Amino acid sequence: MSIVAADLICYGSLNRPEDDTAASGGGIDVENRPVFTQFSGNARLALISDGADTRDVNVKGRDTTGAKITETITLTGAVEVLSVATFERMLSVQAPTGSATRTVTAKQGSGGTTIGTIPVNEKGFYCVFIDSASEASATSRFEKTFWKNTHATLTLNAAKVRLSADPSAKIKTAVVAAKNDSTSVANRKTVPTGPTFVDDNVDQDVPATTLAAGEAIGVWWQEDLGINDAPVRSTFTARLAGTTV
Amino acid sequence: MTTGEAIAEIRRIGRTCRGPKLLTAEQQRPLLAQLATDLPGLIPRIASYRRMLRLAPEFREELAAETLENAQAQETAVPTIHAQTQEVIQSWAIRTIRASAADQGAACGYDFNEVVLCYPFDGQEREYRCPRCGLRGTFRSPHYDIAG
Repeated sequence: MSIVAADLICYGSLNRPEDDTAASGGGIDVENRPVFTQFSGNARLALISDGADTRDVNVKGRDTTGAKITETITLTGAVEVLSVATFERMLSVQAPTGSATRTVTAKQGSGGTTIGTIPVNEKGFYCVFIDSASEASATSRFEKTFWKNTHATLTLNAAKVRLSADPSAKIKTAVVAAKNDSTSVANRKTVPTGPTFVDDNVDQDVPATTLAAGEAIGVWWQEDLGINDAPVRSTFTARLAGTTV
Repeated sequence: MTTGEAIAEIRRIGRTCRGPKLLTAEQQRPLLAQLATDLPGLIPRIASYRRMLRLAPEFREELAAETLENAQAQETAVPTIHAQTQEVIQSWAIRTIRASAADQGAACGYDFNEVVLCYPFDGQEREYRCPRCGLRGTFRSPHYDIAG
């Protein structure tokens, strides 16, 4: 069976800073994805599993005043459970352990739009560049994610990475030169050695233009904030494309 | 790392210019309206004065001296008007590109590594213009500690 889009998964890196002092980057974290749909308005978070499941899910977000808050929600199996807090935005949804059998769905409000899922054997999802405020001088920060080809046997050929949408024009991206790498930077304000960061005008090949079954390629992200920049509540979209037999 | 090794590492990843993004007809409409406002008859005016100056002498004599002087003055001003026109069109084109969020590109395909290699490997931000399609953008040069 050919490679399908669901086989090409964007995962997080092991070092995911929420400040400007912790390390950023590192190896692939196949239990967390930096992918979800942000709330479109203030709402409580609804979580529902697809079977018996009583894990405590840690939820982080901003309340309606903008304060960063956390809440632990205990799953009640296939019955929807709501957060107590109302969130203006979600920052991360994290289960303490993955489940070999259960998928958790997160929704905006009771019965609302699905914003993300925690798939089998994974722990959660999160957003990048949490708490990255502008300063008196222009600021760039760097975080890392990975694209992984999870197909059992097939290689993705003519593999290209693209920043396909960046509505706030704050993001650049760089593919690293080696697959399955684990490089970090001391903190997210440190420019990684080697990568060339480009905007959405440039396509980047995966090294050797292939991503074999089970291989991952690291992608650094650069967020640029102007001097005393206005708050940004935005998303960006990336894609890995290629050919398959 | 040597300069040669750095260049080899840069080239390990192919980078290609996507070219100007394409707009839908709906996205183009307000921009075309703006273009019409920005170019109030500049091009027809140049053409009209040039036609006058190309008239045979006997016909030119029939023109009022004032008209002819005006035409000659405009002819002198043509390079300036051309420059203004070009500037307006360029600015319009840039707005067109910037306004687009479409995930499409009028495939340019220029080897962007050629642009990267024009600058020092110092990790600094750069502005560039694609030599093939003229698309402007920014990038951050790779940072390498080059030995020797």
